[in-house]
Amino acid sequence: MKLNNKFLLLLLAAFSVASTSCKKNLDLSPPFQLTTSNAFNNLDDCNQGLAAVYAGFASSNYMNGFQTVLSESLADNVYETLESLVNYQRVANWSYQSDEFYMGEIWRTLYNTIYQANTVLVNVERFSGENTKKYNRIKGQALAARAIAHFDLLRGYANNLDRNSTDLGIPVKVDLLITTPARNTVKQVYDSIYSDLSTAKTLLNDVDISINSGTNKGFIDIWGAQAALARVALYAKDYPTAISNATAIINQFPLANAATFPSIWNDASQAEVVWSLVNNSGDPGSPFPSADVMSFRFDRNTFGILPSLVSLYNQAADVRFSTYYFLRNTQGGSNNFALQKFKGKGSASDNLVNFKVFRSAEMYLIRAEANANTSGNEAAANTDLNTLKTARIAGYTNQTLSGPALIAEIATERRRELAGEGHRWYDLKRTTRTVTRVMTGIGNANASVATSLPSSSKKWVFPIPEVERRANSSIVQNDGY
Amino acid sequence: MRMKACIAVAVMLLVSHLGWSQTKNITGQVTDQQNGKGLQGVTVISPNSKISALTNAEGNFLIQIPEKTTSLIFTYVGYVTKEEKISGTSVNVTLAVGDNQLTEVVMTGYRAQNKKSFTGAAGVVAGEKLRSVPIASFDQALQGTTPGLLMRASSGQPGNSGSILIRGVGSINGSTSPIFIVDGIQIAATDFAALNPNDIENVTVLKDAVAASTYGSRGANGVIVVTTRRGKAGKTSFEIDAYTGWSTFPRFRDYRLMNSADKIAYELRRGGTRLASYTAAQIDSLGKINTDWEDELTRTGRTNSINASASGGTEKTRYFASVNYFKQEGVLRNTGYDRITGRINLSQDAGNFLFGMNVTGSVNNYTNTAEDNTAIASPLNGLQWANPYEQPFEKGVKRANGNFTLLRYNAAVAANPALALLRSRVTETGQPLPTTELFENSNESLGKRILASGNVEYKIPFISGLSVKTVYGVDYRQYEDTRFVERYTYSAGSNPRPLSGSFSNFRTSSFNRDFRSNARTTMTSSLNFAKKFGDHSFDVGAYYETIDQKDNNSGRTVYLLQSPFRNEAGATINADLLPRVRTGGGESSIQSYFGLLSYGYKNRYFINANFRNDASSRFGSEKREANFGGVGVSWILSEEAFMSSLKNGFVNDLKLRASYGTVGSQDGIGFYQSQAIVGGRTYNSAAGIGANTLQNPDLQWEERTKFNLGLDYSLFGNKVSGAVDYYNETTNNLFLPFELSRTTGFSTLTKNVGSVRNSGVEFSVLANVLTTRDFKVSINANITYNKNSIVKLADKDTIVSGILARIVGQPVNSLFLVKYAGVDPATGYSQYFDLAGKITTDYNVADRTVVGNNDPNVFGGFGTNMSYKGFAISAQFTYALNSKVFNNERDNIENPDYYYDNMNADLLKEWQKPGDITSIPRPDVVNGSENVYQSSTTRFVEDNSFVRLRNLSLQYSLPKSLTDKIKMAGISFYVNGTNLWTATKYRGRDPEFSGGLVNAQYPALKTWQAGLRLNF
Repeated sequence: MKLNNKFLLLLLAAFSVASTSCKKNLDLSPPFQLTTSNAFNNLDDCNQGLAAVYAGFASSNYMNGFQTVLSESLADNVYETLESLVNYQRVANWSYQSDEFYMGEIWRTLYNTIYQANTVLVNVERFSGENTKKYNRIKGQALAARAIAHFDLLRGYANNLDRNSTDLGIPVKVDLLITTPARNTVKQVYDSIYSDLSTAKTLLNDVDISINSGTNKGFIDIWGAQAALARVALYAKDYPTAISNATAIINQFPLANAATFPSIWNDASQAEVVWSLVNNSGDPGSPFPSADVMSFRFDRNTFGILPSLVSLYNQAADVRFSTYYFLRNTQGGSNNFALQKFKGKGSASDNLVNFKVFRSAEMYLIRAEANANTSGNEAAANTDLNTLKTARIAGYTNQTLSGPALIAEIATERRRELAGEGHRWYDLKRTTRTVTRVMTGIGNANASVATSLPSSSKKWVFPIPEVERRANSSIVQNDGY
Repeated sequence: MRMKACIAVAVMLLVSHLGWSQTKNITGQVTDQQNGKGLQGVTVISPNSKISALTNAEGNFLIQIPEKTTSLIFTYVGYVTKEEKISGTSVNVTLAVGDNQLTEVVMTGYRAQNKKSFTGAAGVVAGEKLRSVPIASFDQALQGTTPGLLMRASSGQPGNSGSILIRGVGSINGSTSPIFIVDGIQIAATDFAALNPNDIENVTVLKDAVAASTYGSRGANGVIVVTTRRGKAGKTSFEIDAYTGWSTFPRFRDYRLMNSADKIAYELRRGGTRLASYTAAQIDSLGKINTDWEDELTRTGRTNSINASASGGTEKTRYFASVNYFKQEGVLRNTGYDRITGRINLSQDAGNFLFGMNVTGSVNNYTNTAEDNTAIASPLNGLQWANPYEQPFEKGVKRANGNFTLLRYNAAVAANPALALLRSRVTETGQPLPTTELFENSNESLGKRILASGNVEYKIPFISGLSVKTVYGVDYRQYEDTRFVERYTYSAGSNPRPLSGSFSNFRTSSFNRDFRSNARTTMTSSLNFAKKFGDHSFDVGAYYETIDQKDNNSGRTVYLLQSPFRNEAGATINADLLPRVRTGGGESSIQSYFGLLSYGYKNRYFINANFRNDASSRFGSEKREANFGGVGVSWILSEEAFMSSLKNGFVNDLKLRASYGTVGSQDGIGFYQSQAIVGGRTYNSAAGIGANTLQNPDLQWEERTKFNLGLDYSLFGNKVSGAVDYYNETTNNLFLPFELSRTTGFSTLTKNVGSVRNSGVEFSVLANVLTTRDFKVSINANITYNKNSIVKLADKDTIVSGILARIVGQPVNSLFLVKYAGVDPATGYSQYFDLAGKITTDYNVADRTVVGNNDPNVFGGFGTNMSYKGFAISAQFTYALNSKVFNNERDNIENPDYYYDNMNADLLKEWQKPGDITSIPRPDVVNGSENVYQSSTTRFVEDNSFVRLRNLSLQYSLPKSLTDKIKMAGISFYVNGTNLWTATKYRGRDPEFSGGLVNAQYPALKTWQAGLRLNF
């Protein structure tokens, strides 16, 4: 029995050695990723965090894709062709409802971009004493980015876009908390956007190194923040702010001449460009702006250019016409134009090209519109309009317009200049609120193109996504959904 | 390294005590009751120990057993198991033929348990049913064999695994797949094709709490325990099994695509396409082309297999070894699977030491094409979407046969040959040509899989019944995936192009090579004690187990310009075409302590109990550990005195079982899902970081409570046997994608909220209708009814996810769509039912409602085996009823906005004028915004219930008198047919589908095969 006991002890020892000394380490960390607790350790790390903010803007759900394509496909510049895989059909025909995929993805992606900006803003404060100018450079970009994303949400999902409107806007998100916020009023959203942009302007005026270079305009610098403020102020009908900020850009970024103009679009020149999303081969996601309008990679023209837009140009003299469009008669009919603004870099035709967010041409149009709406400033408006047209149209002679004719011509010029860049739907929304697509003369239209949207339609305001409504009982749906 | 060291320590401690045993030798002979001949290969077991021996060719055996052993158990497949008392040193036994099911052995993975004393619910599938099935992946052969188990193949692509559900869908966001245990170690529940089905002795399906909760941390969805073949003592026996087979592609069942004449007429009537500008003569000539894209892409696929095995050994050493070569061509060209496997199973008795080792390795090559997607470049979509008047490309130009053909590409290239490098070869409409995409691109995966496990057991000599055991095993999988995309295919469109230089804007080919490896190691150490005191029998075990899973992958893509190479050798190093690299991986671990207890009284009352503590690295440190346990009881009614009168009559065996317990699950969520992950970002050619997920420290185990009540029966002289079970399982703390306000920047956070219930009844029966010496007929059937419903969700009642919705009170995978109400004969508009049942032409998402369930609620199989002398016929049917799917393939060929590509011929019946009574609405938008086409309606919902003749086989074995003359143990010939017949209301190619949405389906193969089996 003595032996037995000894043996039993040994046995138990063996078993306990096996089960205790082999105790597994269960605190495992991902080998190819970090966690929020170990990722941000200094200002350089925070600067790295800005990449996520810009990647948000460049996402195919945002500026490189949905946000831009929607603004075109909803409006009167384009029509859906036979070649379309009809993925945007419900949108283009204004039959979207609260479950619409695109409006849901835009909502989520823009708030994720805001989350990434807030992540940088929260962390950058921890190192505010490290290097003030560097801190300013990082924080300024994050604030401007947060404001721009809020503004893009506001113009889609809010109805009345006036500066002091007490209508429902969108929730303002300036923290990292998991909350179910209610919608702020439009005024409150603007307050936040104005505050972020003006702080950004101050911070970005005092930075350690320059943010952009002559050949790369990939980031939001002080000019980007001012351009954003000019655009926001125009929507808000805050004309003095629009004028002053647009003027700053105009003074800094002269218009390109007609010879240089086409090379803006294949990235050979950075003329007029204040901020562009830099898309490079190998970037994750789909760095192919507007490929869902005209895909050169896959040789598929989903949306063709409506004759009513084509006819607005002096085709022979206007450098924009040949730069922006080409004749594509692959599927029946003739005179079917397609968009080539986003054809590619250099001579490539693969849609891989930078997306220009702010250009000085837009600033001329913003200042013209602001002046035209400011009593006594019509002359200044005419000057800007004529300056832009002279730069674009060979042999152009100056015109002087006034009143509604001036305002209408500025709107038309916006359409000529900014077609395909994601402005048209919002320009209509804040002005006439009518879409009419005249389909005569088109040989390759899809059978199912809806042609008119009256100003009484509820579709002028995007639906709050039903997933948001289910998760967030504080949020109020827009009328009509 | 730490793991290996501690095993070594444990083993060394034990080795130092070798040779202390007190044993005795028993000899004897086992004979057949009917003819008195010796039986070879009978297993002789010493109860309460793991010692066993096998009889030799004459039926003689020698077994060395502990001194105090008083009886031996004799088991032999097809014979009634017998326990015999020992007196002296020899014992002779006779065994009788019989299918007494209570004598079967149940492998619970950790140990073998006599079915009699087992209180859980389990089904056993004999290996013969899995062998010689012309499907690479053995899991697919489990269909219809076991009640409660629903296997849906989903794909006929050679090498693909199916999807298995045991007792219903028990999780929404987590895994619903059972775990797989092979020879005691858990393997990854994927790539079963890498394993050789011919090596399988049997498969046990563990369903209830007492059976599955020995896998507490992982057993929630049930456990499939695979035991491979062992050698038997005696003369070495060889088996060679070879077959060859032919498979065909099933044609559409209930609708057809338009032919050229149909399509041209339809396009001209609708107007607007390119055809409108052609002359009558051109149209006429175009109509003479009638490409059958299915013919272009499909073929009769050949399958060949040869399997050779050898087994044998002595009383002390036994082995089983096999090699297998299997090659299957897909019915879609350029798809196929081939594999070589080898296996050695060895076991050695060395006194009180028992060693075992099972090793199998496989090298396989999987050539595949994308399926189950809606990508236009997928050949399985292209064969429906390409127009019949288009033609394939041959040698870079479209096939010409004298007819007018659409020559946009040819004409353009003729005018400017450089365009050949700029354009993809697509149809006029931009639809990729399925032939080009399938034949020119390649998609291969070279897989290697090793399953190796070793075990050592030591019986402590002076405490009878006490033993220690360690099992250590690894499942290592390694894949090398390669994909070549030819530059002129549509798929190459997303490849980068040179920005400048003489190749400016040329299309590039691309080549991907990705290495993936997955290692899963399991270590189980246990201390066991088994003892019998009079009427009491105990079996107690204490276990420690760790499971470690490590994944790694890395890959690269290179781009090629005008290179004859089809891999990295042709890589173009150009600033715009830099190679891309990628990498990833992770690790997950579980650590468990548990105890198992079995107690039997008077051989008729049994209790099984288990308790365990599991900790998983996937959860935060506060929520990591959880306790699970179960208890089961059984009562052998037929052993009671009051049953003795019946026992002589029609009741042979009757056993009542009940079990209750909890099991957990951690599968289906990410390795690091409880952590706030910051991942890499790239912008403006610089790397950065960004938040990927939100912190989730409260994430914990999903927990399933299982109740089972069962009855095993064997009646009428064991002629009719089977089981009935009732079960009720509730999953609590569901991994649920808790919807967040998107203003957080994220859609969902996986939380433990909500619960799902599955309850049901299973019934199985095997009836030996006729059992004479020459003529035998048996019938088998099983049926399962399962009711699945969501009991609780988060703080709301509905979560919509695409066409599915999770709604309290409804099954998990409920289709949630607007009801379609046909076509208004007056206007041709599509009509819908609103929630009040009123017909309207306004489609409104608020009118969505539950219109069906993806998962069948009644399923099972039935069949018969008949034999007359050397002939045997077997037919096995499987069925699954009351399930619905969304036929997305039809949506894509009936959407009138896709009319530039090929369509369903049903559209020829489209509404054209007031008064037309038809099921196809007018195709256009009217008055600017009316009659907009809507796909998310019940128009495309179809019932995919089916009954299928899964297998039909005819076998002839030469009579023994003949084989004896040529010194063979057996020669058989067989012919098998697989999936020969299917009855279904589903309109597409194959109703067997596990998802909600059918698209680009690779249907199940219809296969005939002929084979030969030799034993010597």
